[in-house]
Amino acid sequence: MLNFDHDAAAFRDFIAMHQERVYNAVLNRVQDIADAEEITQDVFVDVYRNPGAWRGEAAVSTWLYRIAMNKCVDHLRKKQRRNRWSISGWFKPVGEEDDPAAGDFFHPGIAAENREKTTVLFKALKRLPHNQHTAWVLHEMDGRSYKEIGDIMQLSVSSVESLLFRARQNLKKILSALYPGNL
Amino acid sequence: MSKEKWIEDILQTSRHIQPAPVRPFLATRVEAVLRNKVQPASPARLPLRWVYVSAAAMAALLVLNVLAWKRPAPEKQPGIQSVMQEYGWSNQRFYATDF
Repeated sequence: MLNFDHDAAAFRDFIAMHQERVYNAVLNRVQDIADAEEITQDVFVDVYRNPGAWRGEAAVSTWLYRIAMNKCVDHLRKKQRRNRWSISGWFKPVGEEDDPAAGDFFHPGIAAENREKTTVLFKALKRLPHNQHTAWVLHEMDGRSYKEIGDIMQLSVSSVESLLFRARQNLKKILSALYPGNL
Repeated sequence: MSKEKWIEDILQTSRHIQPAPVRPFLATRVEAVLRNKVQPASPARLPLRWVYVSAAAMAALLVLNVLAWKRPAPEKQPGIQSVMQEYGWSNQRFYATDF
């Protein structure tokens, strides 16, 4: 049972222990440094406010990932809604207003030689459905096992496998359209 | 480079991403948020008395409108015609010379 009510030092240690994992998973998911910082902060605020939500059924890190991924999806949906209804969106050329792949993201943890490829990958990832995107980030970028992803996303291992299979198929389709040789 | 090879290369880059450093003092920022986060102010509520007064006013207006609509319209008295009749002027005899 977690309880940080009278132990600021323990809470600081807890944050120090988990912050990098949470931040990087969120960053890979939302592809925006400022948003990732804010969501990570919110995750730990939630943990402090409601530590009892962790019942010890899964690892603390799994629970943190679950909070983080849910917050990411909420954030991205809000952002999509905002973009859809913003006045500036009305003046964009037809077909561009809902384009989720608009704007390039440069991850700070990428070597210069891979930057171009990773930018294309992030662009393609943005076009995946939310659950496939989350599963891909957790497995391929964060190295979580199928079992862990299942615990985080509250799915069976076979569902995770099929989600990742579909994610790969969809990414191949999207990347095929982005292939520079097509131009 | 073939398309398939290019796609596979791009997909493989997922595994070559190094963790990005977290901005320092996250714990301090979280603590600051916890300290400063004010409870959301309860939404402003209209006093019940005003609700009743507005409802009564609207009901009264509605009743007045219905009454006004139901009351038979007064017979139209075309003002200029009655005056002309009273003085014996009529349109047909407007240019007559036998006064």
